[in-house]
Amino acid sequence: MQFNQLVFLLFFGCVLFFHYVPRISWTWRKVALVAFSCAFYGAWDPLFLLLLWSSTIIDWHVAKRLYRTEGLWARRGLLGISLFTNLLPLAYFKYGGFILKNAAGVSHLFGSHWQPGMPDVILPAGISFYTFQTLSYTFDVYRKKGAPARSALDYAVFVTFFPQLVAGPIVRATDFLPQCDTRRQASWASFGWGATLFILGVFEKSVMADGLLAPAVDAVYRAGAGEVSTPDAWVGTLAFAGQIFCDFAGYSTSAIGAALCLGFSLPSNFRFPYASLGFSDFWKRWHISLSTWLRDYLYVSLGGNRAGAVRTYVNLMTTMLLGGLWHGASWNFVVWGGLHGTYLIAERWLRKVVPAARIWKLPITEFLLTMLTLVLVCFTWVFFRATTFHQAFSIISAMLGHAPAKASALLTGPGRVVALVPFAGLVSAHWLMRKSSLESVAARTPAALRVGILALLLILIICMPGEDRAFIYFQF
Amino acid sequence: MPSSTSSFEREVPEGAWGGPLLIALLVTILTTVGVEFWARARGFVPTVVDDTNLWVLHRQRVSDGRTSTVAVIGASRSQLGIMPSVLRESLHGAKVVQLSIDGTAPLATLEDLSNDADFRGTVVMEFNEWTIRSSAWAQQQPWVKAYHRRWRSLGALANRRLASEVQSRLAIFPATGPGLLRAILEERHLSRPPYVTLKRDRWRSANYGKSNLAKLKRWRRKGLADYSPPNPDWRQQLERVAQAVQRIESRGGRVVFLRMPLSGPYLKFAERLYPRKRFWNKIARTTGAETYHFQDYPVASTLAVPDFSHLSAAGAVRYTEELGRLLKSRPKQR
Repeated sequence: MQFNQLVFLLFFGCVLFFHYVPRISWTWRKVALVAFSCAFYGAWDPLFLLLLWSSTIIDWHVAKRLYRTEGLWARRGLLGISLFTNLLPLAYFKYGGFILKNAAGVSHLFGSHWQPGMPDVILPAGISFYTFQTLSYTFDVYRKKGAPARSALDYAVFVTFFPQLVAGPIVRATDFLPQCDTRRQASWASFGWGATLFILGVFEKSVMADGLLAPAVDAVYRAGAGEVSTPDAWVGTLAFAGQIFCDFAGYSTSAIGAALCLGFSLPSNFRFPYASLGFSDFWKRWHISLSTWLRDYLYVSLGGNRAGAVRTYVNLMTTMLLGGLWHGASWNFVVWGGLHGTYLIAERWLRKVVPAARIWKLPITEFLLTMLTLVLVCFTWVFFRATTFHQAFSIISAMLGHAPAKASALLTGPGRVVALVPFAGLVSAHWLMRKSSLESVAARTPAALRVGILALLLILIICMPGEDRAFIYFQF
Repeated sequence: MPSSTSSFEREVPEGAWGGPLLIALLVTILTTVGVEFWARARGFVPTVVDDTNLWVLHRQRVSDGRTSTVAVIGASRSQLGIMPSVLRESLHGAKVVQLSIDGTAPLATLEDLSNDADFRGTVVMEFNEWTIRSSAWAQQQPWVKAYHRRWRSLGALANRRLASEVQSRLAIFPATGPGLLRAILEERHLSRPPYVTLKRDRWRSANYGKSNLAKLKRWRRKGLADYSPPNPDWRQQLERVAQAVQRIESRGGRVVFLRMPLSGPYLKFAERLYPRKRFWNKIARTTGAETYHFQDYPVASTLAVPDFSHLSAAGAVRYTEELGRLLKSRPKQR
């Protein structure tokens, strides 16, 4: 079930009814919320509910024991149980085929002809998201940064909460569990703002990502390697930069909006990332819930920046490579993470060696550096979208002006306009709003304009939906 | 015991948000009604989006254990040419399910129905000798696979059911969308109504008056290049078809192969590369199925085939009525 599907509206209507119908205790409302969340997840594949529940039950018990246990080795053992039971399904479903394929490749280097049978495995929706969410809970209890949930029911609400279950934001228990203590109800204004965010997210997904940007991306990235001209390679890649943002940020925005309608607060996941001034800024603005997770539970655990420059660079690169692998079982994602790691290390080094000067603070310099950041990010998106290394290198080569002579135009002039205008609009919006927030801009918008914008978004959602596609981040 | 160490609340922008939302919803409804009238005035009619899930919803209807149920399988010719509603009427209310899939040979579906113990009805299959090759067995496999996984995609199926209800009632969707934007930018005019629309029962209705027939014919002539002469393994593949037919008949079912009407270069192509005596006339003997060739019947042989390959909606009504009569009567050839 997806936010931009009709069946979700029906489902959400039922959820709202049970959430707001009078004379039901908060406990029963939470039970209903868990049941609806299971229905939401089971709509993809009921079998995968077993995975979700086994992870929930094990982590609930492990965290309770962890909180009471004092011995270091006993605590480490309990943490190990949580890590093992959460990471094993992830390894099997997400990385099983990848590991077998690479093992066969290595064995071939030694003359073996081993061809493993590739398992016909379907990746459970959102497994990476809820695995990281439950792991953060166990880590927090292990580090004594958070206490276990008051009840198994509260914990089940935290893990299964349907708005963010399959594609984030990855919520911390310390942010969410206190919200389960007392009855959550949205005020009329809060409900209206939540619905506005939900509509904005669906607009980003259905109209921008699927309707306007995806056709250009598909035309370019479905072409064979060596068939893409320089302009098409650029348009296809810029369109993908827009598509991936609108697709993923659209989901997060809708999730935040749906949660707000129920009276729950989820953290922001994006903050105008295409106006980032450098890469450390980019990762403070892009998929914030993942980048902070990686920072807090991986980078810091590796030693962070506490052990000298070289170790910091190694830690940064390790974090980004694993972050890349989190996105998918493919070397393309590892390269994507590696490029971001390289950018972050280069930026850190440059900040040390280049002296601070007024020129770096000039608006024009900031603008140029922001555009440079965007272009470099776009090069990494090629690896994210391409299906093979060969295709990625071929498109990057075309972007750098080395398109093959036989490359013919894959996109028509209007096709390029349809992709580039929304992308330019998106980047302009990010630039103009980079120092503010959606909430502060919304607060300054007159009521009549709010009506106009909302109506326009809704009409465009009805009139301009693209092909029915799953959210890209569901596969992660 | 406290459940955590911090709390988090999102900021809600100042000002009214509920009121503007309600007014915006009202404006949206009024605008949608206006655009719907505009679309219908321009000749647009509702059309359902055909996809794997819609096919799965229909496929599950034929596994009902009834001998009266009819499953129509094939490619675009049978999807345009056989109207489930008309055939149902001809067969006194029997369940008729349109399972044809555009651009694909129905071999995988035939085999799947033959292996389905709950299917005991009649298979009406568009049969084209040029599609009988080993690679063709895979063409409808993704749909068949989706059908067998249907219990694992309940949400998508529920959404498809709901979407079909809405799409079959509103003309706003084909009139707007990316198609409208493309037409404005590329052809500098508003998009024209499509000449083919899909009904909820998966019948595709063709109104060639809305098409650029000359362009369509040129395109169809180019499409002929994709058809190839007989494969060496033709006979072997036919044996596999025969096995499927036998399995269906052994459960009390019935299989009818149809040669749908063709004209112009398509008919010439079929007659030149696949002469009836060498191919079509042997199908009934080899497979044991009933065969109906359009040239043998008074109505089907005189129907206009506007684009050389597919019937119009009016032609589909007449063709289906004749097919209904044939299915009710004793088979002409065996």
